[in-house]
Amino acid sequence: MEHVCELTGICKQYRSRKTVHEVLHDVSMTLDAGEVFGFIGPNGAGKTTLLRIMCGLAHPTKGKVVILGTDLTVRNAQLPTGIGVLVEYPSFIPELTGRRNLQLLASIRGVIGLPEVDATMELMGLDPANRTPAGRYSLGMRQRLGLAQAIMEKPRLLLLDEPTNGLDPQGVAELRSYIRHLADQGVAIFLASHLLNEVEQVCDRVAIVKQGHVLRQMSKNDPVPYRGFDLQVSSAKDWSLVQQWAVQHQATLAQKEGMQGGMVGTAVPVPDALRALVQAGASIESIIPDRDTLETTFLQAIQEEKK
Amino acid sequence: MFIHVIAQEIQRLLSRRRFWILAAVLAGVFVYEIVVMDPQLANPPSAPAAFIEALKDVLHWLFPFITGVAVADSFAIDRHCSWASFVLTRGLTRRRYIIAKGLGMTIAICLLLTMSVTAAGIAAVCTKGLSPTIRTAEFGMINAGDHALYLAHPWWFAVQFAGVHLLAATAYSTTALLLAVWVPIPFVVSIIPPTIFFAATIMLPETAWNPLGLLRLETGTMSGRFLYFLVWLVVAAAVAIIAYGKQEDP
Repeated sequence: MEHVCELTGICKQYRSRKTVHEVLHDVSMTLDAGEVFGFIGPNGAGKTTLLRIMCGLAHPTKGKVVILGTDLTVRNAQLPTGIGVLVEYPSFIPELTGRRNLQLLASIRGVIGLPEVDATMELMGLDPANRTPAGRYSLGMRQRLGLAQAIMEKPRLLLLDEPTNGLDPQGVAELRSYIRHLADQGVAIFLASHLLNEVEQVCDRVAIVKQGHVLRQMSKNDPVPYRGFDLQVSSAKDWSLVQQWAVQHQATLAQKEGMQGGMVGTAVPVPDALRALVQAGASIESIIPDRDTLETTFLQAIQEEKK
Repeated sequence: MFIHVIAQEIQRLLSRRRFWILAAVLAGVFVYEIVVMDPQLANPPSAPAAFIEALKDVLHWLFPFITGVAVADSFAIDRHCSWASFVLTRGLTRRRYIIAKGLGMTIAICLLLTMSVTAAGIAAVCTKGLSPTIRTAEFGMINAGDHALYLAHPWWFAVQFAGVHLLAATAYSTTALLLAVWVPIPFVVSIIPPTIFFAATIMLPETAWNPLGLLRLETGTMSGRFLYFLVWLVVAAAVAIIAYGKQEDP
């Protein structure tokens, strides 16, 4: 199957008179239809540069970029249609309304008309009848308008750079579910972000990048190491029941100081442990599995890279 | 797609408040020049000749200023908003984008000039009693060749006069655009092109192919003026298109 996007050995260097600054080093990845790929890293890691290379706004110093079957590294390559791009902090012609801005952009390709523009604005929580010039939009509204211009022409590949910038919690939740909805419809989505929580919740695969180097690539289907759970019970009596259960199952306990709870190190899955403890009569306040999150993996990868 | 981007560039510039302020200022300068000009000092001493002289006096030096500001404003929008990225990610190549942008800017500048000259014409009619048709004998301050052409074919002469100015506007705006490729700060963009134009025209001897002299119809023939601005435009456009095509961040 042909990938929607295929990057091979991408390097990007900026040269000044005396120095060569490498922004991306040997980045390779593929992205398929219906997949959400997260590209995460600290500020200045090269996320935006890679996104700009993928949409033809910048050229790689080395490597091959094939987008929707078109090799963008070939001289005079024409960017294929079917790409939607949200650049970081999108801003529009300040004197025109949001609707007029989108209308002008839609006229370039000419594949959609005003009804589709209005529908996309409404989908993004914007009022097409709003006469306020785009220059007076709040950061969140600009972001919504930016998202609208990226998705309005029904792209097959959507490139999003920090899409939740400026959005309120409701907007973030709506965007998250919309990204999943688009992916379910077969749209390939590349999401560059430094917000780990945001990426973890929507992405099928993730690459961790630092200073232009991809440190790790992971899939949500990869097995996640399980170490036990963080348990909180109601009373000292309950905790003693937990201690008994731990002895029976050769689990380790690390009680939190002054609390009826702590870390339970065991291979017993959370549902089984919970069932057994409840049957033993323990009153459970909370139980949280102790496994690697994207945040712990990210920090671990950064630490390893430092060493 | 290309035509749409040209139209967008015009709409974009026309949507700017400062563009209309510039048109108002320009019209104000024209009107002021026409109102204060003493017809007795014109050659021949008449209101129509005074109008033409005022027009020629103002137009040639305001050209660099207008193009500088218009180009700077266009680049200011590009740098302060993501419009270029939005357009380029819709499949237009950077070179075609800059060509479309240049054409759009030129048309917008010509619209601005037309509006200002119209305001000046109305002011002249109201204040000096200028007749709607300027009598041939009153069209002074031009060299013998141009005068003869004007007397023989007044409308053809008018078309050529406007055409030279259109070509000059294109050459100026393309040069300003070229200079703007390497200048990251919009404010500096607006200062540099007019400064360079002024410096160049002051340093060039009056008797040489000085663009100010050409636009004031003091030197050269009409075909020579066309050739002069055409060569200028071709050279500036070629360099600008190549330079801008290699840029990555408009």
